[in-house]
Order: sequence, then structure tokens, then C-alpha cells
Amino acid sequence: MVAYAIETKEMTRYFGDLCAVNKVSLQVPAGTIFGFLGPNGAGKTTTLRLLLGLLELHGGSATVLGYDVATQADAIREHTGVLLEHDGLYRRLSVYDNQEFFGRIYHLDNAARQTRIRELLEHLGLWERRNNSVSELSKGLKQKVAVARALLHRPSLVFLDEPSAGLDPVAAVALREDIQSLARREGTTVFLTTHNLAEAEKVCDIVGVIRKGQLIAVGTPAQLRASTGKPIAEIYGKGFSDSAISALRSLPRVCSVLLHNGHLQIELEPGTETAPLVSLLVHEGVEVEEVRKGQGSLEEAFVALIQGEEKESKESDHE
Amino acid sequence: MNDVMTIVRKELKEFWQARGTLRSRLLSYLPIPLIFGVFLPLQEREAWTETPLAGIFAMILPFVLAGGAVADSFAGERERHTLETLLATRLSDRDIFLGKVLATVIYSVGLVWASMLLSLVTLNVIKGSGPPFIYSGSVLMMITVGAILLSLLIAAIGVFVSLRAPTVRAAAQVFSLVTLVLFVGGPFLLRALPDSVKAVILEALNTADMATVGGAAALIVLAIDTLLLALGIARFQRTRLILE
Repeated sequence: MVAYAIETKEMTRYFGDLCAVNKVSLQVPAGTIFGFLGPNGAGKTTTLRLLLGLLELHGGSATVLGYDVATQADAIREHTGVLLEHDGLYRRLSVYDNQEFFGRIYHLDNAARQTRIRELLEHLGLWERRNNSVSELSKGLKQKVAVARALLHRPSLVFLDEPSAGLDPVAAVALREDIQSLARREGTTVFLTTHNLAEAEKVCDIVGVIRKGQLIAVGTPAQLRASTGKPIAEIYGKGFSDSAISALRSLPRVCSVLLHNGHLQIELEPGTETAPLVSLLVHEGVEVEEVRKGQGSLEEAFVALIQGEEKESKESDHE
Repeated sequence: MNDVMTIVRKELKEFWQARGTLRSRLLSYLPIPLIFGVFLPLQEREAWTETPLAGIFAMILPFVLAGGAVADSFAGERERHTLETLLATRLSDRDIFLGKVLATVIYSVGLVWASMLLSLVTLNVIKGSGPPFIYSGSVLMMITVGAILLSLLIAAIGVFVSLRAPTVRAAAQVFSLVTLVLFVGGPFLLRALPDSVKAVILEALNTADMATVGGAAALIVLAIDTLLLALGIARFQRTRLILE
């Protein structure tokens, strides 16, 4: 088994003059759930297509499961499963027939195919609807059928492109749990592109951020939050007066103070202690009941990364 | 071959399921066997098996049947957003292409043969006693070899056109244009030939027996089929298809 399910070195792809993927170097350890984040048009889908050998590289190199993308794309497609931008299901066929077709493609014999289809559909709560035409299913159920299809042949690596896009929150949570439990149970590496940062934070072991074709950050969600997001203190209590809030704002290591739903949200410089803030509030007559300290969300870290990069590129353009 | 048959099985299932309810499916597929397997044979009686009439129908039908189905092959997958997922599987370019062509040929030839077989059953059932109605050798060749070669021709042209078409409608339009050129272009080409060449062709047709002419025509169509299939396979590259 390879240490890295995906390894790219300066992977590059152009569309005309546009550099859609610009010298991306990336390592995805086997067995992890990797989230690939980026705004629209950042190069997520192009990266995924390059890794599947559906597009040719214009520079650099990449291996997937130890196979070279440029010369062994067939072997890559043999050992990977996909849920691309569109679910790719045949609407006229039933749920079962869709699975059957892909099972045959991957040469699962009759008995193994039937057992595996039943196992996956039962796990996803779709067995009772196996004879329904795909066109009769809701968007959330279609995505589930597509996840089952992607995992049908027990691939070592699954590519999921925005799997929860267009789903309502309940369906998105259900799908996220299914992906997580199936991937963990089967030891599958998951390469997940998403806009949904809350989803990435909950599901992914490692995340990479891509912007304008360039990989600008890689790390665990906690590392990204720590590197870019500022610590936040939340103070619950009574008697938050204007003077107490003004006093807090005047402190040198306090970045912002917000009174939100009856409690204070204070953004701090890294390394700032909260005890002096509490003392100040008590001194101002506030009855402090509870203090919580934590990092900002991955969403805040992501926005900071993207905005920081934009600022830098504008400055370099200006020079 | 296993992979080609996997595609064929899926395509045929989709052809069948595309018609919706069982009633709609029967209404779509029954008219062909009813017309060519019951109605026309009853009208023509002996002429149905003794003249080339059945053979001619068997060679015209693939244009309608295969033509109707083939535009959907790749353009339909693209339109319904299933193409990229199919291309992301382990199937080779060649197997996907050949599977699509073969499915169209099986669908078209299957309906033609079913209709022609039904026509024999119809004629023999109403005839009662006496020697049974059977097709002559040349008609049988038209029904078997002719229908296969022409279905293959239509399927190869259609899949070739459908490869790059953005929608089923666009593929159907280009396909209609190509078949129109084939039908209208042939006579125009013959008319444009020098008189001396026309005279040689006419004399050859008058002197040669029909079996030789039929055999030569079959060989020409087979050569075109092979060329179109080779071109289609060469043109089918997933790294290019994904961009269109």
C-alpha cells in the first residue's frame, strides 16, 4: 500500500492562456479524508479531472495510488470511484440497475455484485427503493445512490466533487455521515471538493485551499484555523453596558467586540489572556457567568486566506 | 468483449425504459412488427417471399430504426450529464465506442429480423396446406447480411456524429443531413460521371448476375463500415471529449 494516495509535483494545466491549475504540489496520505476547498473557478474540478486522467497535464507530474496520471490513467480509473459535479446516474434505469451496470463495469461477479449492492443500499436506506427509477428520487437520494455507486467496487480512493451541493441541510448532514462512516469502515481515501466549509471542518482530516489555480494552504482544519483565524472569547453574563463594551474595545490586544444574543464575542490577538478582560468587565459592573475561549471557524480561516492572497496579488500587481 | 457487452446491455435497457410505461413501450415497438410482419405480408402474399420486396424493406428499416436510436448515444449521455462519469470508469475508449455501435445494431437488426420472421409465420398460418412460404436465397441474404451491414453503417455514422454533438437534437439534425447527402448525393454523383464510365457501369450491371452485384455492394458497404468504425475509434478520446 502506498503512503500517499495522491502525490502531485508542480501539476499544471492551461486552457488557452488561462492557467487553471498552477504548479500544484500536494500529498494526500492514504486512508484520510482530504477536503479540497476553493471559490468558484479556483481549479478544483480541473484538478480532479487531471487526477483521473480525464485531462492531460501540461506540466509537472502526479501519481494516484502509485500510478502515473500521464501514463497509467486506466489503472487509476480501475481503482478509484467517483461522484462528479453531476451524479452521473441513468435516470431511466432503476436504482438497482444503475448499481448493476457499474458493478459489471468493475467485473464484480454475480454473487459478489448482488451482495455488495444490497449491503450498500441497505446501509444508505435505499434497499426498499431499489426498483424505483432514478428519476423518481429526490436530489438527496440521488446523491446517496451515486455515493453507493462510487463505493461499489471497494475502491482505494474516492473522488467526490461537491457531494452535498444543492441538498437541504438535513439531507446534507445525512449524506455527510454516510460518506464518513462508509469511508472509515472500508478504509477508503476520500478526496472531497466542497464549498461547504462547515462540512469540510466536520468531515476532513486534512484540507487544502486552492485559489486561481494555486494551492495556498494545506493542513488539518485546526492548523488552518490557528494559522489564520484569531482566537475568540465568548463571555456570558448580565449587565453588558455601553461603557463596559467601550472599555473592552480600548484594550490594545482586543481586535473587535460584538454584543450578540446577550453575550459578548471578542476577537483577540493570538496569545491574549482572558483574565484581564473578565476583571475589567467585573470592574464595570458586569455579572460574568461563563467564559469560553476558542479559535475562529474554518470558514473564517478560509475567508482570511482568500482575502489575504487577493490583497497580496493586488499589491504585487500594483508594484 | 465483456466490457462491450456491459455497455450493450445498458444501452438496450435504456432504449426499452425510455418509452416509459409498458403501454407506451408496446405502442412504440409494436407498429413495426405489425406492419412488416402482418399487414404487408397479408397484402402481398406470394410476392412477399418471391420478390425482393421483403429484402428491400429489411434494408430500408435500419435507416429509420438505427437512425432514431443512435443520435442519443453520446449526445444523450452528454445532455443528461452521465458522460463524464462513464468516462471516469475503467472502461477503455474502444469498448465504450463499440458498445454504443453494437447496441444500435442489435436493436435495429433485432426488430427487422423479428418482423421478417413474423411475416413468415403470418403467411404460413393463413396458407394452411401446401409447401411453406420461405424466403429465396437472395432475399434471405438481404434480410440477414444486408440489414446488418446497413445497420452498422447507420450506427457508425450516427455514433460518429453524436460523439461531438452537444445535444441529442443537434446530433439528430447533423445525422439527418448526412443521410440526406448519402441518399441524394449518390444519384448526383452517378449523373456527374463521364458518359463512358456510365456506359461501362450500366453494361456491367446488365451482364453480371444479381448475386455478383449484391456481393460487390455488400463488400463496398463493409469497407465503408470498417473505415467509419476505425475513424470513430480514432476520434474517440476521452481527454478531448471531456472538454466539449
